Amino acid sequence: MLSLWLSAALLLIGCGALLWWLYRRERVVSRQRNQAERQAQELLRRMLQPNELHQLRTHRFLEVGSRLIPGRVYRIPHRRGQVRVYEGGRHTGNLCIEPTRWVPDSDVLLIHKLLLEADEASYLSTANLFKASPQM
Amino acid sequence: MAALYVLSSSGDQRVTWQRERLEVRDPEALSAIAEAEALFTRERARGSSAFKVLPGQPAQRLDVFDATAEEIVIVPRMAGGA
Repeated sequence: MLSLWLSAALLLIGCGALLWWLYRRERVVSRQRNQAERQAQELLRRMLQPNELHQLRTHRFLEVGSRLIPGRVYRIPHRRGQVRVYEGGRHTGNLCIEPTRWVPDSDVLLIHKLLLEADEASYLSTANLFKASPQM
Repeated sequence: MAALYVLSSSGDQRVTWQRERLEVRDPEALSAIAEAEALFTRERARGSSAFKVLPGQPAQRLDVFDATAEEIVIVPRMAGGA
């Protein structure tokens, strides 16, 4: 009977220690990611022009004009998510493409901008396109 | 001050150097640019893309290291999502 109680106590202590370790680890990862996001925001502010920063703060997205398709504009969201495609002012679809390694949200936005400006063809061939449903 | 930024999970890894110091063969600037070039080569081998950023102009893709660039940003490989 005593050994049963001992086993149960040891199991409880083990579970408690594991939960404590997971909690501490989550806090450390969360703190590191917040710090990374602050650094990424600082880099983004450095890389964007004042009008681009204004658009981002006001509308929570950044627009990049296509160099391949006249009249097409890409709308990059403030936080990670699909890039919306507009042609002649009409929403025609969404592009889904993401980094293969985790980076902060502000870095994701910067990556979309750099790729669309400098390597749009490769960006489009990698991204998955979801066409917008036609409006009635 | 010129800089190379490698975007990563910790924000970014950066190497900076003074371009005018390179012309006078300053050892510190030479060491920094060698470090930047090594980082560039390593990241490109991992499938990352590099871009030269110029104020007020569209970014330019870089396939070889450009020691004259003011700012270089290296981004991880991308994949289509769902």
